[in-house]
Amino acid sequence: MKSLCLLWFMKTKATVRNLFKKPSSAIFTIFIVLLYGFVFYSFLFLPKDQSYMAVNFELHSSILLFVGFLALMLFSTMLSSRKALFSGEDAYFLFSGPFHKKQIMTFLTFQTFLQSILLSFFALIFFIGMNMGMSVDFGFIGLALLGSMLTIMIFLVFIDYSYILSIGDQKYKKINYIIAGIFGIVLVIILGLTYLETGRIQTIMIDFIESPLFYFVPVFGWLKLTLISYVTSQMGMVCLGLLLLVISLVIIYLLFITYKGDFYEQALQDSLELSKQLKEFKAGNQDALRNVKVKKTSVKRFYDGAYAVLSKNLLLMKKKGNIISWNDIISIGIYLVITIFSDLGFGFFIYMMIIWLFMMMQTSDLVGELKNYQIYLIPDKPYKKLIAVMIPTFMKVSIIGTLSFIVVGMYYHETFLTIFMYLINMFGYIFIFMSASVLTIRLLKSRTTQVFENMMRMLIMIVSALPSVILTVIFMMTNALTPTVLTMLSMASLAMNFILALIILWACQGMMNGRELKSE
Amino acid sequence: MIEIRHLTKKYGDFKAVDDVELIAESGKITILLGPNGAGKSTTIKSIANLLKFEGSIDICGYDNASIEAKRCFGYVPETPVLYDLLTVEEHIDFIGHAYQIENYKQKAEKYLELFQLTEKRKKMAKELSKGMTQKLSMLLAFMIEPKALLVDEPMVGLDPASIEETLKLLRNIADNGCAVLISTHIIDIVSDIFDEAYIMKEGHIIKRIKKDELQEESLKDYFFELTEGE
Repeated sequence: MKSLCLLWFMKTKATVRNLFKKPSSAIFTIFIVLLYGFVFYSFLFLPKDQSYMAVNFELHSSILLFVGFLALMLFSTMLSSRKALFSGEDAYFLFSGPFHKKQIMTFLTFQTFLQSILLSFFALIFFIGMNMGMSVDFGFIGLALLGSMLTIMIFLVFIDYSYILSIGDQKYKKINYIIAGIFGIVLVIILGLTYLETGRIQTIMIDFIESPLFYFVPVFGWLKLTLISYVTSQMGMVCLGLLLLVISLVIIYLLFITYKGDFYEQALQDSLELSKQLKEFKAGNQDALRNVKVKKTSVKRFYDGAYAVLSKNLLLMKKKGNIISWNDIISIGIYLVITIFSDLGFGFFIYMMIIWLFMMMQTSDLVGELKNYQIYLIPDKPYKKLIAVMIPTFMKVSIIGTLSFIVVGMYYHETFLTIFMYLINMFGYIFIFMSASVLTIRLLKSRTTQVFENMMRMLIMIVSALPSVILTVIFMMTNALTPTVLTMLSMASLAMNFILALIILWACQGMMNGRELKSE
Repeated sequence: MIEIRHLTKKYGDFKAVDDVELIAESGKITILLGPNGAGKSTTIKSIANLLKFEGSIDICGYDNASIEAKRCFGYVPETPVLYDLLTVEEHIDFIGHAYQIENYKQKAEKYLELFQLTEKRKKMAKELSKGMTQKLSMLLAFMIEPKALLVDEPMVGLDPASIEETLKLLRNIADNGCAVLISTHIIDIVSDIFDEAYIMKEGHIIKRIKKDELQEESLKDYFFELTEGE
């Protein structure tokens, strides 16, 4: 076991060492850690309007969003067709090395425990981000961490258990779908019962959010019960919620470690395969983790010079059918349903769409493109190449965003001018998000990750908002803040989005020459 | 012509390449030899403009970062980098338009024949064998009709018949005035076609030798003498 602990320690050390290998990467890592620290600090210690925690609709919906976020994360892992117990390297050394089953299982448990802690912190950041104005105490934060960690562990251990069961017997392959289906049915039943209780269909989502019936949903309901009961100071119910989570974890864990079947061979093969796919994904192949069906299609004509890259990328998007994919339509459909049922209006839909944009703009396509030496060798100007690479993503999000804004805006009887203003704002965000992706790759190169990229976007958004904030303060101090001035300031902030994005893209164009990006 | 002057590349304090001078002349096949860690890859990446370096590299008389240099430069990397979902034909269309080559389809046709890719033109890159992807990678570099060609380990993954064909083709391209620079470990394969060889060791060019200077000795024996069997 000592050697396995050493292995984990060395791997962690290597990851940290890699992050601090280059000054730019080190500075960025420290900045992010400080930023996370600041987010926690400001959430816990900065003065709030609300001086104490109260059980109201906001608290219910915030906790439900937190629980929903966890559920989304865990079910998407559970229903993924790609599974493995370890990384390829770990699996190779563990299964072929001098380790017995107990050691392997202990190492796996330790790994799952660490994963659960990290994921619960991640979920908590999401919760804090959504509720900066809420007043909470340390006890609540501690319970949220503990509860989410138990919830995540229950699912991760169950996913591992169902995986080794399916290796032994193919019929268990459907078990994850059955479990997800049961959760779905329970939710539908609770929605039905909520309707029967209130008799109101218009406010069914609001009633559902506040309904104690949700506590009957296994695992997630118990987590909500724990948190709400803490705020209402019902410590007995807090203990009940936690106890139910702990008992579930113990049962699943015992089932898992007492499994007698032989799963080594398939587990090793799957681990190696998944590691390979993850490496490809990290290297920029966005489809490495998907089952892509290739459509037979062609492009009418290729543009010349750098814009041949644009033609090529559009052709690839058409082949993969991801110009407007079902995933996008379903995501936006869900946002729309939530907006309509929760009666939060057009503004809320816009907010959800900005989050969608945030998630859509990943660097993978750009990183993938930069892996191919051909992009550097094409005899054309670097800024043209950069634009050619960015246009397909820009087109995709612009088309989907514009259509959604117009359709939903019309549903809410918004004026043409209002929809137009929101569209301009959306383009401002698209520019900022895209330039942030480019800047992250330029600074961090192969160490670019989604987390860094998202942090960079937030940083650039803050920087572009700074002039407006400073001017607002000045106008306030001189008592000259009128509605007209406020409108002008928000326009200035929007203009800054575009200006900053263009400056970044101009400054980063050299990376399309290869020398600047691939040098180290 | 590919002309390297005082090329130095440092990684921290370590000099991977130190003051390298190399000329691959037009109409000739120049080979770059060296044991592992000699600095060949660094030199090649520098020529392809993928690394920052000290010194200067000119391709066809232009700085290697310039558009003019790129226009006359072909590169065949050791591992082919292709787009999995694009067919052979679509790769040809892409490169043809990116380099704005006139009659590119006609030019590609002869290489399709030569590399026996004609039947595979509708196949996606991910459906090709390793050897076929190598052939497609070469085709894409050759169809731009480069004046300077850089080939990194060209024979990896090719069957014996294709190796023969490729060697003939490289000779033919050089005879038509192109400067061909080949980096390889497999000395036996290139020993018949080379005109000039540069031998690298520990970041330095330790010998520049023309074919006719070798007399009775084989290039392989000469290489081992210089590198002390590495």
